[in-house]
Amino acid sequence: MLPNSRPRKGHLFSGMPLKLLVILLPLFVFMGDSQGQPPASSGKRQQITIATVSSNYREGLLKLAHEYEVLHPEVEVRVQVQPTNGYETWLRTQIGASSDTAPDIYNANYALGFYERGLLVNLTPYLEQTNPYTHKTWKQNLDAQFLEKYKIGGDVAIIPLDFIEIAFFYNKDVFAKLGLQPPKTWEEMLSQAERIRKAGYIPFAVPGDADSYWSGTVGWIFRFFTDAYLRDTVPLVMSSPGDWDYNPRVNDGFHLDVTSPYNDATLIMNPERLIKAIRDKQIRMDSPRFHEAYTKIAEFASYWQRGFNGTNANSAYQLFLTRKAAMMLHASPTISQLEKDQSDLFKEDRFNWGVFSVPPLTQSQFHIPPFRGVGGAGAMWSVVKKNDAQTQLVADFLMFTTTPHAAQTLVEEAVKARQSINGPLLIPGAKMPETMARHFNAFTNRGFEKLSFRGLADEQESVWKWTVWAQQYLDGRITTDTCLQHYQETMQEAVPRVVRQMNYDMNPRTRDKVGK
Amino acid sequence: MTLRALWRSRYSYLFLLPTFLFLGLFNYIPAFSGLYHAFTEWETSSTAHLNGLENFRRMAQDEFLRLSLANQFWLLLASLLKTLIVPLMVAEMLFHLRSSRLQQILRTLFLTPMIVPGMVGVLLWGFIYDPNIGLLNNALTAVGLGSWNRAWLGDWHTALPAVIGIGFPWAGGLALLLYLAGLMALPVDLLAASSVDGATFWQRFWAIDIPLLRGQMKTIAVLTIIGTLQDFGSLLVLTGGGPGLATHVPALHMYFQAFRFGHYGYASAIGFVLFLVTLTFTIANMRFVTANEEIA
Repeated sequence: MLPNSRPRKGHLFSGMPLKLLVILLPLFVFMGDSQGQPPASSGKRQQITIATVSSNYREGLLKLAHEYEVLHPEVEVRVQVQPTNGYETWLRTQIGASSDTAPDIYNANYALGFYERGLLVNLTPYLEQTNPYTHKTWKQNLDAQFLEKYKIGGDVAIIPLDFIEIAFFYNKDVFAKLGLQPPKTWEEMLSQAERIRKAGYIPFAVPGDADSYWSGTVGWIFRFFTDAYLRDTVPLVMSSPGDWDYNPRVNDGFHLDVTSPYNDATLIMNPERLIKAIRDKQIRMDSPRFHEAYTKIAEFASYWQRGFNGTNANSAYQLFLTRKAAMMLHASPTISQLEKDQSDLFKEDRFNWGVFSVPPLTQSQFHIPPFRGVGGAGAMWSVVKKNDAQTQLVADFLMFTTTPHAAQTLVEEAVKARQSINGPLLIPGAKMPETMARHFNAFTNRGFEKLSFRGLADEQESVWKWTVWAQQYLDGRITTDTCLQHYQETMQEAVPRVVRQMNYDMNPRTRDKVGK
Repeated sequence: MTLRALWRSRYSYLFLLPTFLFLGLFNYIPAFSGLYHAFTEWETSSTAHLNGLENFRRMAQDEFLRLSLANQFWLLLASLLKTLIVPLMVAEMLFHLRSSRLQQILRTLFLTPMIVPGMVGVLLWGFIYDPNIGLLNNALTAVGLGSWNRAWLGDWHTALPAVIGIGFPWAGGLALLLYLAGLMALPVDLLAASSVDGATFWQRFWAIDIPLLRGQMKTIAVLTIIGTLQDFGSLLVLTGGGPGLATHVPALHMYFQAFRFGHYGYASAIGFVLFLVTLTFTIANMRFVTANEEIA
C-alpha cells in the first residue's frame, strides 16, 4: 500500500460510517424478510403450524384455518405445504434440533419412530374428550379401525385422515383391441401381459428408482407379496398373554383364517416379538417362501418396461398416459389425476381406462391367500410434543379439522382446485365425487398387509441396503439365492440398530421407556 | 498493531465483524464440530459420547463405502480431464481468433451458462437421459438408432458414464475463464519472439502456453478435486447412488449416514477422512506443480 493511501479523516471509513449504517440497516432488514423469515408478529398470542406434504388439501386447510381463526381470534394458524422430496429429512432436522421450533402438526407417515423417542404427543386421552364442534367424543368422529391400525405400543399418536390404496389401471382400448378382460388371477394377468407385449405395447409401466423401492410401486409389490407369503407367521409375533401390550379383547381367541383379508386387521402385534423372530431366525429372508415370492416378482418384472430401474414415477406414468404401456400399478389418487390429465389431452389422444384389483395368485407350492392392500391412511396427522397448553390448543384444532363439515370442505376445495383426492375421507359424513366413488370399488374390501418386509421395520439403513440388492436382482445381475442371502444378512445386522433406536429391552412383557 | 491504530480503524473492523462472526458460526464451528464428532457415537435424538476410533474401524469394514471408492476414482479422473483439457482447447481457439469481435461474442456465449444454477443443469440432464420421454433416446430413435436406446441412468453399464457426461461438451465455466485470463496475460515479447523464430502452433502450445498456464492448471485441479470429492447433490437428485451402487460415492454415503440413517458420528468420521483425502490431493498437486516450475 502506498504511504498516502491510508484512509484519512473525512473519508468513507472515518466520517461516513454512521450515515452508511443508517442507510444500510433497512436494507438488511428487508433482505432478511425476503429470505423467507416470518413476517412481523400478527399480534395474536397463540400459533399453530401445520407442515404437510398433502398439497391436495392446501386450499381446504387454508379455508379451515381461516374458519378456526374466526372462531378463535387469539389464534393464528399457519399452513405450510412442503415438497414430498426431502420432507422426511426436513422433519428430522426440525424436530431433532428443537421441538419448540418444529411444526405442531405434520404427516406422521414420513418420520416413523418419533413417538418411540418421546417426541410426539400421546393423543389417547384426548380421544375421550368431547369434540366441542360436534358435541360427540372425538373418537366418534374418527374411523375406529384405522385408529387401531396405527396405534403405536397401544397408544394413539396418529390421526388418519383419508384412505389410500393401490390397484392396476389399464387401457380399456388396448384390452378391447386384443379381446382381453380384466384378469381374475395373477397367472392370467401375466399371460395377458405376454399378448400385450407381442402386440407392441409395454405390458406394465413401473418406476424403479430408489424412491419406488422404498415408498412407491416396487415397494408396494414386495409388500403385498411378502404379506401374502407370511400370513402363517402372524401368530408368531402377535401380542400374547403376559405381554405388556396384550389386550384380551382383541387378541384372545385369535384363530388364523387366511381366507378372510380382515382376520388380523386389529390384531395387536408385539414389535419386540417381531424383532426377536428375525434375530432368532424364526423368520428368514432366505427361506423357501421368500424364494418363491421373489422368483414370482422377478417373473412379473420381466414384463415391465426396459430400463425400469432408471425410470421415475412421472416417467412411468407418462408411458401409460401416452398409450405406450397398457397397465400400471398405481395408487387411488391417480383416479382424479388421470381424469384431469385426460381432459388436458387432445381429443384423439384420449383413451378409455379402468381399474382392477391386484388379482390373486393361484399357482404356488404354498397355500397363498389373495393379495391384500398395502395402503392405509394417506394423510396422517401427528402432534409434536411441546407444552401442555400448546398440546391442548393443537388437539382442539385437530378436533375442528376432523368434523364432517371439515372433511367435506377438504374434498370440495380439492375438487375445486383440480387437485387429486387420495380416497374416501376417514371421517364419517364426508361424500366423495361420483366418479371417484365408482372407480374406488377396485381398491376396497381387500384387507391390509400385516407382516411385510422391504428392510426391517422401515429402518432406513436396512431399506436402503435391501434396495441395493433388490435392484440388482430384478435387473438379473444376481440370483435369487444371492439376493436373499444378502437380504438375510442385512436384516440380521439391522436388528441391534432397531433395538437401540426403539429402546427395546427385547422382553415383550415389559413396556420400554420411550424418549431416552 | 497498537491499540490506538486499532481504535482509529474501529469502523472498518466494525463492518468486518459480522462477516467474521457468521464465517465462524456457519463455516468454522460446524467444521470443527465435525472433526470432534468423528470420534463420537452420535445418533438421532441422543447425545454424543466419545468412542475413540470406533467409527474409523467401522469405515474399514463398510462394504458399501469400499464399493463407492471405485466410482469416486473414475468420477475424479473424468472431472480432472474434463476441466483441465477441454476448456484449455476452447480457450486456445478463442485466443487465436483474429476477429476480436467474434472472440468477444463467443466468449460471452461460452460463459453465459455460468449464471444458470448448477442444479438446474443437472435436472435438465435428468430429462435428457430419461429412458422413456428423454431427449437422448428420442433423438437416437429419430435418426434411426433406436436400438441404442438405454435407461442411461438406470443401466449398470451406462449410469456412471452418463453421470460423467453431464454438462457435455464441458467447455464453459470457471476453467475457461481462468485459461483465457492466463493466455491474455502471456508476455507479448515472448509470443513475438516465438513467432519470429517460426514456431508452429503446437510448438508454442507445448513450449510456452502449457508451462506458463501451470498456475491456472494448479488452481483448476485443486478446485476440481475439492468439488468432485465433496459433490453428491447431483447424484442424489439424479440417481440416488443407484442403480444398486453404480453411482454411489463416499460423499453420498456420508449424507445417507447422517440425514437418512441418523448416524451423525459415523457420518462425521467419513467427512473427516474425505477432508484428509482432499487435503492430501491438494498438497500433492501444489507440490508437484511447484517442483515442475522450479525445474522449468
